[in-house]
Amino acid sequence: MTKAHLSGLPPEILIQILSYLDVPDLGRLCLVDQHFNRLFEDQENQSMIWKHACLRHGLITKAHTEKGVEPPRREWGRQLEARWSDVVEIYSDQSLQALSRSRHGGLKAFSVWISIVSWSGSLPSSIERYSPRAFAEHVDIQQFPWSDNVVHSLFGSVCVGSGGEVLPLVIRRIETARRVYGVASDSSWVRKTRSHCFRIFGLWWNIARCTFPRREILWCLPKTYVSEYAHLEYEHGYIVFTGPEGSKKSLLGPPTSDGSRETGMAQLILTRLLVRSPPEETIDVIQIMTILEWVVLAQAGVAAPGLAPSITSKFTMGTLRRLLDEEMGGGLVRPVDSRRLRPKFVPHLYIPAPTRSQQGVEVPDPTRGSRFVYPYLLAASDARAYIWDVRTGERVQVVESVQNFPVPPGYQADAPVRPAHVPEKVQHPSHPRADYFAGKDADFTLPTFPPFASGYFDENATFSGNLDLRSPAPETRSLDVTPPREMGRTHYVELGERWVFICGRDGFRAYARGKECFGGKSEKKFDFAPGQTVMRLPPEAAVRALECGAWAEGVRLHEGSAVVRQEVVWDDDMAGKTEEEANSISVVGDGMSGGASDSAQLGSRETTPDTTSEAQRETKRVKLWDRFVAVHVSPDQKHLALLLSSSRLLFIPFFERVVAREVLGGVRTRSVYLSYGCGRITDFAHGLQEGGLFIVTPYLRVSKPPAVRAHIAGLYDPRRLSRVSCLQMSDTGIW
Amino acid sequence: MVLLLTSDNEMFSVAEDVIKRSAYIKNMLEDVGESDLPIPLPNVESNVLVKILEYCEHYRGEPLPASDVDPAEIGDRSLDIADWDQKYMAVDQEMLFEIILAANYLDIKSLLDVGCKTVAKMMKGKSSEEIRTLFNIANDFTPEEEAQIRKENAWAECR
Repeated sequence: MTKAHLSGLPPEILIQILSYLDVPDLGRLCLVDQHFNRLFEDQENQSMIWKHACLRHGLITKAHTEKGVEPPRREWGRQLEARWSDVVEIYSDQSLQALSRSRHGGLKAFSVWISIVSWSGSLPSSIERYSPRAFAEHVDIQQFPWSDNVVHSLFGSVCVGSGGEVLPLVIRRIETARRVYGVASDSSWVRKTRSHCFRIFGLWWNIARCTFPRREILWCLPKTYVSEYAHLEYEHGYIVFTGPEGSKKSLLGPPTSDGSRETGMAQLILTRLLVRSPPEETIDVIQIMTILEWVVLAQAGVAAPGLAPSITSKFTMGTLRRLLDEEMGGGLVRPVDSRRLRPKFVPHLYIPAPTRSQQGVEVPDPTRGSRFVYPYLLAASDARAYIWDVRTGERVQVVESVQNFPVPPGYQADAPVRPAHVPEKVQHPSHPRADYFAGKDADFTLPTFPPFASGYFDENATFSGNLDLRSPAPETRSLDVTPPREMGRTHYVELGERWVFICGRDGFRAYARGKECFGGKSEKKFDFAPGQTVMRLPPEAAVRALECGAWAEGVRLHEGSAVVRQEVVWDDDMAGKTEEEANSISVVGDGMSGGASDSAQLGSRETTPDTTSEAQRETKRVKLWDRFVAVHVSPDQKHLALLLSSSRLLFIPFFERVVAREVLGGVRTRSVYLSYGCGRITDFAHGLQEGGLFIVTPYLRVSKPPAVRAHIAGLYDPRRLSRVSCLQMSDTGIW
Repeated sequence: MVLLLTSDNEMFSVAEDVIKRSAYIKNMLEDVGESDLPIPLPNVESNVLVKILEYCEHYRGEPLPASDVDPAEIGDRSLDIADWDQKYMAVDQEMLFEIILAANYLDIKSLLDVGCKTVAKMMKGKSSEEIRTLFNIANDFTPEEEAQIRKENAWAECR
């Protein structure tokens, strides 16, 4: 007998093995060898394999297979046969239309398509439907004061409200360890609702992300538990959201100092029960709600109905956990059919608003922005940033003194910045700050207003070089007004592996994280004390970058540096563009091929609809410090993107080079990355670059329809788009 | 007691309620009735049969599954394998495939399921190259063929 081998198994056994595999696995198996490929080629096997796959993922039900139907290949979409009508119900029009156009037919196409759609995680495990009746009966919605609340969702990324409508959020069954970035919200989701609750809508995980044939509530949380304009993120099964304040201030959020409803943030974390949980672990929504209510009431020191008074006085995490254990293990458990799968969330952690000591008194330190990157949660107040580990609730790091930099003369940094290495090349004699590079050893303390060489962008040091710019020199404009020195109110926070990014109204800064936050790994060049400010961007940097590229000049340490400034300000008057303008745009399309030359060649230009001459522009220019709205770090932790309130986007590739003070030359990686959604109307991707700094002013499709095409032609080079490997979305409507 | 004769001519004597887990033998016993003649198993070697009997012995007394259901159609498609089964399946690949083949031949559905699940678990989430290495499969595609198939299945690569 020959040695038993995988390919020695008969086809029916192989097919049975394959029936346990996910659709992507099947696709990869075709590639293994001829034997497997033939298995897939065979028509009969094929239909069997994909039928199993569809069954496995719950894309179809057993009933469908019993009817023995192969979906009609051409008539997918509108004219489905009656027996597939429930499929139509379940899947969105979009799905089915895509299917009908598919080159393949039948179940293979179906499952393949679905698996592509569900890019962020595994396929849905079931199409069983959850009815939210139980909850509706339980909660008396009248007791919650109604206010319109928008939950604007960007999956796993940003959720923000702005009033009047509800954008449902699909809970995606995300099981990949990968960070999930936002998906543009689709306007078809917008629907007016008289909901009294904060709700999480869902439709069969992953399947229909744009249309909602059935707008059912999968799970919801009453208004009381959630603040208005809640920031909500979802990752690794955790939902993180902002606790309530306003009328419920005393419960979860501290009173705000200025009465603003944006302040007083507390974080409440819920964890998801496994969707595929066995019956004994499932608890009903009612129980979840009850427990949550208890938690909230107990925080307020109010005895909840059904809750022992002893618990209310001192309510600790341990109590909560025990309570949950009892709930889930005790008599309240209602075994449900495990096939009726649905998302279930249970309270996991309550993080009260942090406090800080002020003249010996603990005062609440309301946080404004939060960011959840599993397993860490970052929230920043105006003065400090906090990082928690959501698995344990432990506070792992506090970044103090977020605002106090730059500082007046005489300031001594807590810990001296140790410039890890200053390469020889940097000692460029003509560099405006060459003296800073020469003879500095590892122990020098930060100068009061450090040049870029110490790891900061030095807006003052950057303008003394020989800038060959055709546009007005930066000194002549905008800089006579003292820009804000402080970062201002915290707008947005972002958490990277090594850094904490805080985007204030008037600035952007990065701080080092504690070593434990990135697994103890630390490169020498990033040997900063935790909490150390490692990078900052003042608002004028943004202005200058826009106006003359001088900011990027500051980044450049020597000629030939890869960090070039690219600036494009668009308007709708592209028809009569000059050759120069054409040149500018074409460079956008081609990407940037060179370093310094590009920067010099492309002087800034700005045309506005109502100004035609340079002189007029001069006079009409308004001095306005741009504001920082949001910041994101790319998933590979290499690049930064900043959104400014003028809808411009700053992109800093390989920002860690800046931090490490490395020579910025030599990088020619075509890092095509970045995408930006501007408002709900025009969520288009912008900002492709090649080792360069790139500033884009997104256009508004509504107001400037003719310009759109021109810009798309410039930006939407299919060749380049095809290389876009990552999508990152923001929304100007956020703030 | 039932006598079984393996392909390498070894005789096994097994209790009837143990070996009845094999639908093949069960049917044969029902058809033939009581007999002293050994049942020949030309596709099963003795070392594999020992293993199979270990399985049957462990599940002795458990109700037999209904025989007329296609296992691929029912049950959960999850890859959860019972602890004991996992330990039982912790054998080298050759033995694993022998067990699967024997379970198929002897028509022991539950064992076949466990075997298939074990193999599927090994394959899951692996790239085609990893699978080739794992199962010692030679890549017999020409580069052109491979490129073609890779193109068609590009969707499977993006995770």
